[in-house]
Amino acid sequence: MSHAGLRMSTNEKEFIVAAIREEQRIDGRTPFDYRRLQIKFLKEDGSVEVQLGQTRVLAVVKGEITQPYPDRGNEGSLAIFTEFSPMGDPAFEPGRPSEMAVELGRIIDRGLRESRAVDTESLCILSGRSVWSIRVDIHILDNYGNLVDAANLAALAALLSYRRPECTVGGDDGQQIIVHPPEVREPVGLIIHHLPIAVTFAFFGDGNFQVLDPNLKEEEVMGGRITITINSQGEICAVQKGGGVGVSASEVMRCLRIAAAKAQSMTETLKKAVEIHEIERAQRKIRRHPNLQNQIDTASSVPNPIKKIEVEMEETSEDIEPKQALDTERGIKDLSMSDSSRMKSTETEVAETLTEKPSRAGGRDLFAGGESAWGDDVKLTPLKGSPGTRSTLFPLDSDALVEFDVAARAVLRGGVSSQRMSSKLVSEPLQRQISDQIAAAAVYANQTSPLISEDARPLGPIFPRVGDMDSTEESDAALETKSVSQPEGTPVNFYFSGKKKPKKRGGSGRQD
Amino acid sequence: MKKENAERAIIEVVWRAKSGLSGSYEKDAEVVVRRSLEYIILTALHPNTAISVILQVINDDGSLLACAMNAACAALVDAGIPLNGLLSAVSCGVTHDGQVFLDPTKPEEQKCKAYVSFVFPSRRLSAVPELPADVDGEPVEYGILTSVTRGAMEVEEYFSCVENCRAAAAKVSEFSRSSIEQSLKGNRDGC
Repeated sequence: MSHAGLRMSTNEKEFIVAAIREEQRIDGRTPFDYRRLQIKFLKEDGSVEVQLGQTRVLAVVKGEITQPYPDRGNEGSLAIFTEFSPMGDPAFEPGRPSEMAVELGRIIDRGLRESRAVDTESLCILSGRSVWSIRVDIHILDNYGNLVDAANLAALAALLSYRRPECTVGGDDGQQIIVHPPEVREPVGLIIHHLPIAVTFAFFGDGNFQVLDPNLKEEEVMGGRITITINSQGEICAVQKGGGVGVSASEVMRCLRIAAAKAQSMTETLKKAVEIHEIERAQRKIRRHPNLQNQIDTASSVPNPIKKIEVEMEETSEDIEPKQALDTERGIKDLSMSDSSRMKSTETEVAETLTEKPSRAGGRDLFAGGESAWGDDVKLTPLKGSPGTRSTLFPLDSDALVEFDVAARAVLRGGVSSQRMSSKLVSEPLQRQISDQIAAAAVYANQTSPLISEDARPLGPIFPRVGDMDSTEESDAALETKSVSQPEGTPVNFYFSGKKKPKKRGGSGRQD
Repeated sequence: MKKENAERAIIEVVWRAKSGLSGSYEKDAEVVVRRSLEYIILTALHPNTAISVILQVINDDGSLLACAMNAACAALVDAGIPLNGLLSAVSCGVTHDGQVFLDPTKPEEQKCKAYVSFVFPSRRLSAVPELPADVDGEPVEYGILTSVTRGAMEVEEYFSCVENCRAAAAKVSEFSRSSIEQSLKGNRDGC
């Protein structure tokens, strides 16, 4: 097990082994302790960097449509590619994968593909003709021991966060595949049945001393190594022990038991990290217009009533959620309004939307106070306007504003019906637009999130990114048909704060 | 493969793409980076040696070559390889109606008419012929080290790109110098 790049003195080697006999490790860990684990999801779906102590591994998942294998016509394929570039370790040579690289690739492959963790039948598009071929590239960025565990985790996290474009079969002969770009249809995730976690032990002495998660120096002096790929249900997916010192069966059983426990805690950590990433991803999709606050403030004709409204909204601290909803609403509306009607519509649609929502959700008041789920560290000022923009200002009717003021305050205090709203403020096409947007939002939220539960605490509205608000005809049609099929009275689901157990959804969700 | 040179060090560049096997794009990028680095590394100080520079693409959102060049230069400084100057790389694109814009993102690169990456040397000269552009009163070397274009653009547009990028490169060079100084200070205090 000698490492070409690392040169250790005999003293150091003996010291490490002697310390392990006393159940001490050179970095201060106990024998069955993992190093600090960090899972970082990169901006692109399916790219994850895992840091286990000082070992860093990057996993990238890509999918493409190919022909299936002739003997497995209705199954997609999953392939793992490992590249040990000299970046990870000076001992790695560029060019052909070394023995270690091939072994690592095989262990991960066995754990994921052969244990049927990733569902390949769902990757089929046209049986015998076209299937999705998923490719996982594993890059070693820094080798400081135990690459297998880190790489396995990275591959798992990448597969969990990967989204492939949705495609439908259509055309005249029913044989044409239409791949929908992500702006038109939300990409779907892979179906992963269980999470096989690799747990590696190193043997020292005559095989009677084991440590978990060896670092680079321990790997240099170890006598042998065993990798157990096991999932949180205690099912062993793979065991790899190649060469090295002979170990008694009872020691192997002991390692298996420890591995089962470690796999459970690792699975929890991984799932939590994925959840946080999902929420953050969904929040990223909410597009906020940065200039609206300034536009409202600079309304030249009637400055005072407007400022009063803003100040009021800010001061009511328990209504933080409605205010954020307002900002979002305004943002989306602003982008879709023409310049001339911008000022007037901004005020009116805010009130309109507030009153729209309770009726839409079947009487349930979604913004009824409650603690803000966003927490203290969300700064609202960046969401507001910047002095950079000026729009053509529209002189506002002071009567309309006063009426709006009264209505807005009433609504903010909690779920007042829309009767008090003057209908003259809201135009017909505007109403339709607002209801369309809400329907689309409901559809979007229902369609994409695999982690929502019915009675989840709402975080905030999520709106679809329909191009740059210049939605193509196709996407408009798609949205419209979907909003028609949305059943009445269905509560509008929003993303929850993560405290509830996620409800499993069929189809493109995850099951485990 | 590796050609040993008894008189100087050889520079080896490995460019690893994010996904997929290494193709011609990667080979091309390796050559470009190597030739640019050959200008600043003092190879004669280390005969019979190989200096390997490995670049791993983690995410490509446009201006990839410029980013890689800046990274390679910073890595060489971090490794303590003796250099006779630094590099600063910038890229810019040209839209279909002739407008020049700096630092294109991936979607911008795909939609514009052409884009170009420049690498400028950023080293102070001790002898002073008739050169313009001072930095802190010290004369700075002036000239294009590397230029890689993709797509077709007018000659005038190209010169306009050079001007814009030259100005931007001065800023990039300032930033990378101050970053290096910061990191060295940090290293000294807490290894």
